[in-house]
Amino acid sequence: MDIAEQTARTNLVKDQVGERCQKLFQDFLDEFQTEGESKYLAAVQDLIRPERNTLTVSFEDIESYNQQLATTILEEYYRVYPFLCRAVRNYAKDYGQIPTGKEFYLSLTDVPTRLKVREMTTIKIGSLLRITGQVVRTHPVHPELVSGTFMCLDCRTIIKDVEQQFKYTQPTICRNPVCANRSRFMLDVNKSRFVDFQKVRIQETQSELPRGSIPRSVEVILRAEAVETAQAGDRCDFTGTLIVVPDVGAMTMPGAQAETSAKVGRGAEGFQNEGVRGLKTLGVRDLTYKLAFLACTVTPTNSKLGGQTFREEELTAEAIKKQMTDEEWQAVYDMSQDKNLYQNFCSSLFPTIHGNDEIKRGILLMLFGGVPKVTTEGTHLRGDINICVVGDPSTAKSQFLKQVEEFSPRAVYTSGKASSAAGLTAAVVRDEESHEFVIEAGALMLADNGVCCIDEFDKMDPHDQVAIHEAMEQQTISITKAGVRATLNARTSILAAANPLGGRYDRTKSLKHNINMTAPIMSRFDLFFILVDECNEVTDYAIARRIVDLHSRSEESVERKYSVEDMCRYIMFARQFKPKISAESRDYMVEEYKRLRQRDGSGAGSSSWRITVRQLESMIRLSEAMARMHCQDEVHPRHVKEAFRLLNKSIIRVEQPDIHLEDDVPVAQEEMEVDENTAPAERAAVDASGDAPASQGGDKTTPDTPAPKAPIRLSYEDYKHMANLMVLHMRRQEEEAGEDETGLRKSDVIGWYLTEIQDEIQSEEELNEKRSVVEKVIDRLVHHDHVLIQLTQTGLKPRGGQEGDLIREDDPILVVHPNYMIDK
Amino acid sequence: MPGIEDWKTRPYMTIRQIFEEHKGDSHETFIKSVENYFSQRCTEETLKTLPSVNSTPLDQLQSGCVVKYRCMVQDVFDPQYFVGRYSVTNKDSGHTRIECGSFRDVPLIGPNETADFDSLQNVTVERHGFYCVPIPGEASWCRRIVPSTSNSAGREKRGRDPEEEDMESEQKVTKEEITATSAAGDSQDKSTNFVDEQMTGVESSGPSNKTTPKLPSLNMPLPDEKGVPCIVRVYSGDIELKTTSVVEIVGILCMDPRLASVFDNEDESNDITEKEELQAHEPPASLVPRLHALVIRHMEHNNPSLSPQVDSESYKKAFSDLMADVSSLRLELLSILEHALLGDRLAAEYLLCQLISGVYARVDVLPLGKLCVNFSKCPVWPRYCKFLHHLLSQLTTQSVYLDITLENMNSFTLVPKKDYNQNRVTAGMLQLGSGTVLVLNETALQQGQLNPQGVSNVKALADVIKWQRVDYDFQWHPIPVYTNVNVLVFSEGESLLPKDVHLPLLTTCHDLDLASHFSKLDSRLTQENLDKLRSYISACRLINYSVSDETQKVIQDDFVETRQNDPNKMSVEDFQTLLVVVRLICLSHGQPSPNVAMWCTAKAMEETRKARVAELPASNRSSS
Repeated sequence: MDIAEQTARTNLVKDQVGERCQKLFQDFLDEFQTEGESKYLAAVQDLIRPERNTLTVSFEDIESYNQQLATTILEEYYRVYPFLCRAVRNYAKDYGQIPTGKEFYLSLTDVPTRLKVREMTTIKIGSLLRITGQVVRTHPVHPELVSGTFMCLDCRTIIKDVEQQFKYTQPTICRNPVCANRSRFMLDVNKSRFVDFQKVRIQETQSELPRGSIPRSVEVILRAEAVETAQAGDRCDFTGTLIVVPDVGAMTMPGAQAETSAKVGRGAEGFQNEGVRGLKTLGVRDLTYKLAFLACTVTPTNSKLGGQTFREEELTAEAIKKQMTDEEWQAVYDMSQDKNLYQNFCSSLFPTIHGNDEIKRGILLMLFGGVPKVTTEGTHLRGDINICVVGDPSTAKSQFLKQVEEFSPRAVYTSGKASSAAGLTAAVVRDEESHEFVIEAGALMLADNGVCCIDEFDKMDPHDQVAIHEAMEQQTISITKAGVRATLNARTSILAAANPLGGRYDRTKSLKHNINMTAPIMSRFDLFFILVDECNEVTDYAIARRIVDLHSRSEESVERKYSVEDMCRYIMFARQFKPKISAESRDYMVEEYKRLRQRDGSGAGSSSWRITVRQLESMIRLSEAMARMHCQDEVHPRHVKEAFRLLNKSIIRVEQPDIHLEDDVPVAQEEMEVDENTAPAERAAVDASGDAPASQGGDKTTPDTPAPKAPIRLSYEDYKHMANLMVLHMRRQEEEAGEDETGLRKSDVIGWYLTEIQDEIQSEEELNEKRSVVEKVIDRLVHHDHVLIQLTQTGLKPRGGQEGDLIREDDPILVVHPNYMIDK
Repeated sequence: MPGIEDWKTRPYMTIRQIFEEHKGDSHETFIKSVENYFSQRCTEETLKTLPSVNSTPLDQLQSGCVVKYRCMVQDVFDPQYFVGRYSVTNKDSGHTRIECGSFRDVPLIGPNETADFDSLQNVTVERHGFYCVPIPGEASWCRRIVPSTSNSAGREKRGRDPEEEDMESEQKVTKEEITATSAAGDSQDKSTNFVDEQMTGVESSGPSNKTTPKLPSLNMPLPDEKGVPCIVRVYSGDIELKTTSVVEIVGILCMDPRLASVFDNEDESNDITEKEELQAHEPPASLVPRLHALVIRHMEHNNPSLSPQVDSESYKKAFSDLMADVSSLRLELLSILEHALLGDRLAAEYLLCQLISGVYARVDVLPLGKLCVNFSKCPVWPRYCKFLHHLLSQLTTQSVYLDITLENMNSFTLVPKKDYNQNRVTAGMLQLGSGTVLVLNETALQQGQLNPQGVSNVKALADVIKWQRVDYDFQWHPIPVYTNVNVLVFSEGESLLPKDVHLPLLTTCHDLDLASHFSKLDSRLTQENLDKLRSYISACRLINYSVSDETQKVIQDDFVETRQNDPNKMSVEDFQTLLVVVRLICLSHGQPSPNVAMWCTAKAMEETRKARVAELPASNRSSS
């Protein structure tokens, strides 16, 4: 039953397959060459150092050298493994002095067959496999007896080289023919050989887990140099084979108590208990087993905290392709050929959320991500795209987040409100048992290389906000606390949802005043979306249909063009592309950026912080994500175009409020404004509800106030622009006129301004309109902003050449407040 | 001498026979035919005659007999490998025979026999282990319907706190109820002492675990729960049991004392950690018997007076009988609930809807069909919610009561957590079977500080209400598990937890004597009446629901029209809630699909409700 035993026995009768493998493998080590050099020679010579004992060999090399040998190793791994190790030993002996007692081990990498924990069955026992799992528990390292030297307690005969395979195995009988001792032996620890031995337990990874199931776990046995390479929390690949070990639970059945006299020092051998009882007290115990995995190689697939492994980035598209089955690859290929991929992807990603296409697109691009870069100075530029969705309650915000969490393999969903300080960022906590400080991963770190969905972002603790600030730009989290200083990776995209202040989005206020977020954090989001409960017949109908449909049938009625698995696979595949920006796209990008900047600056130039290099970076990231989505190695102008369009839709200029000029006491009405140089139809979601259109930032005046009652609204920029023009003019006039001149009359200023803009005025009606606007602006400057001072007192000395001694109330003299500085 | 009842009392003989018949076949075929054989025997009639682990004390059950067990899967163990077929050699005679290793824990080997491990005839196969617990929160009437001798009357007097002495009247209620309903028992006792018991349970379990490692925790989701957990071993691979599945298992009971010997070998194990795991997985059979499953049936409902098979004839007959006087049953139930809710008819309607709600489908992450009701402006009498819960526990099959107090939130384990030392999932209170009514009493809440545990507990409750899922704590990452729990929240102001429907109570009677108020119901809750009402609630939940195209059209048009007139009147979310309410109203009438009148009723209900919410002072009204 037990393979170990079988192997042990076959060893005695010269395993021909094994011998042959040993020879072939030794030849392989000897002969295999890359670029004219023996590939493994240096590595083997290195093994002579006392602390080394394991040679790492790529399985692909064996395959290319001798297909048959590779197949034998694959199929009969457990059987031939000792022979392979022996081959290493012999080979090492050829090239250097090695101590006689030293054991050598082999570690195989790049093994093709990969299995899920759930797929391991008894059929797979003994063959070479690779499994992935999350290490959940590690046991201390023990020495394991590999070869024992025994002394007979009766006649003192020394019995050498008793092979040990998992079980503590005594000689069956004393070598001394006259001594009939079968059970009383003593292990000579000094003359026996040991190897490091460690048990770890791994658990199915989240991505392999079927829905709603409890993850399965399996014990992994590590030996030699593989010990201590896996830490709890790591996700690792293990190469090795399945073995069965007797279940300890079943071991201790009646009868088991017998024959424990032969026990040696505790911990001498990992499976000692099983060994003693399992072998000596046949009977009932060996009837149940559990599977264990005997691993020769451990490769971490990612590190839990701050590890410098960039495994994911090292993966190539080719490698991913290799892991897929033909059908899976076909599905991915078909998707990449889909003309309508962008649209189909969006609708398959969020089948239950109606409308909000821009948000879907944004999130989709976020899943693909841009390309992270390292500058020559070694600064990391993030490739992750951050998105914030602000919206009224009862819009599908949380659903977006939940969906992404369900969809993305490494996504964490957390609520800003519910998470304590340890929730989002890492925390230093004192371990209850050892009283050591350990770093506990927060949500951001858990989502490293994934997406961190933060609901109720606005309700987040300010302390967390600071940390998230760093995470969003630097992609790291620093902790300095209780003597622990660490910088941890948090390379994650952030998808945040926030409720507007006061429950509902107040369109009359700026974005800044609608959400409780600091400007630096806001600027770190690449895309900002506003979800407003929009209302129109067509969408209402569609929504109603959708929802009624959902509630009418008991079976699931989700229509997806692509299955979730296919999409996941596709995203994983596409993420391996690192598109470069073509010269053409670069020019286009520069052009667009300039336009954005100019338009931004053409206002009053005061609020241009919004369109900064950050937005350029966002544009690059989004373009790269677009290119990735189409699996292309180059960013084309059309990708930039879409990125630009999306950015345009989402950029919310956090700017000053609009000015209401009609009010007696002008109230600062603040207006969140969508970037709007696009056609009205293209206007962002915010505008969709059919409010009075926001003022057009590009124009100099408010276009749509023909009705006399309607308040004249002016965007702050325009207002500022006008004010500055007038103030500049007045200052100039004042300087020219020198000391004597007190100021200009109001009508002069108005007249001057109107001539300044005369080429923009076409009709008389328009002229009147403008006139009233200018008057209002001046009023406001006087009464509200106190930039201008109105001189209405008659006590001032009259000037010759002016209209008279009395200053008319309706046409006062205006001077610029001496302390006023024209900003920028 | 084979007898007709042999499969019940001597199942190993039967299995042995089948084993002999299938000597040449694969192990899977053998397991299949065993299961076929037993599932054919397990008709509705014969099931009734089988002893139940739930209601019979273990000492009256015989190891090696066929028993039935109604349970919820609490944990799924790793598969175990064992020798399904092995050969045994008699040391004396040298005679060899082949034994079947399935369906037993201790192999059948005589004193002078040894197993031959290298025999080529040995077959290693795998079996799955499940840790099952009695359905958490199962109403006492569900358990008691099976006649048994197990109920000790002594328990009733037990566990009263001194401070509760003034609740004399309540004790009277208990007694009156016992006489009135004949559903005698400790339910009242239990409901009133629920929290206290929990507290003591939590406190005592902590230290006792450390001092006496020999007694492993039984891992019940509800700390005060009584009953016997079992480790169920399943041999066929095609049955899928997930955590919180509610199943009825027919299997061979094994309480071999030899299984307990694990605990006697303290000096044997040099690995403490391994020992802990071992204790969790192989507890003494006297505490946690093993059950080798022969037949496993998923339970769609847990009402003993209805046939477990929804498609069976007897169920259909019972159903049509019920539906014959569905309107009177509905009215009766409504008036009882109205009385319990201090005269609020609208609240009674919503409570009825809540009782028959349940997730019937999930669209991506969105659970459909759940209706979490929050009754605010609840009287803050400390006993009120308990009385209500007691009433609900008489009507529904599973119900759980939880006081949302700071202490409870900060100390309770609501979310199941993986214990890697023991390699098992430590149960949490939210590990509940489908259809459980969870009554949350927020009126007990006071101001104060929540610790991290409390924050995560509140979050877990919110997750259950909003997404109907519990994120099990697996230390490195959470594992989401879907639930189907009907949550009912009583609060003074609007609840801090999310809710689908918020309704401020409008109480008409100010009868402060709760006990006598509720005792007025007793005359109406006769055994016969109760049975009908229970069956009515269970049956309504199981009706297959669909909406005709015409009604769909009306509903859609209505939605669009309402929004045209006033966009604020109906948001998409309101619409969703409305559709859920329509569905539940329809089901409560025993109808499979709604008509326009029901749609109007639902709309009217929602409008009245919203009007009531709007009347609240503004500070209480953040969103409805």
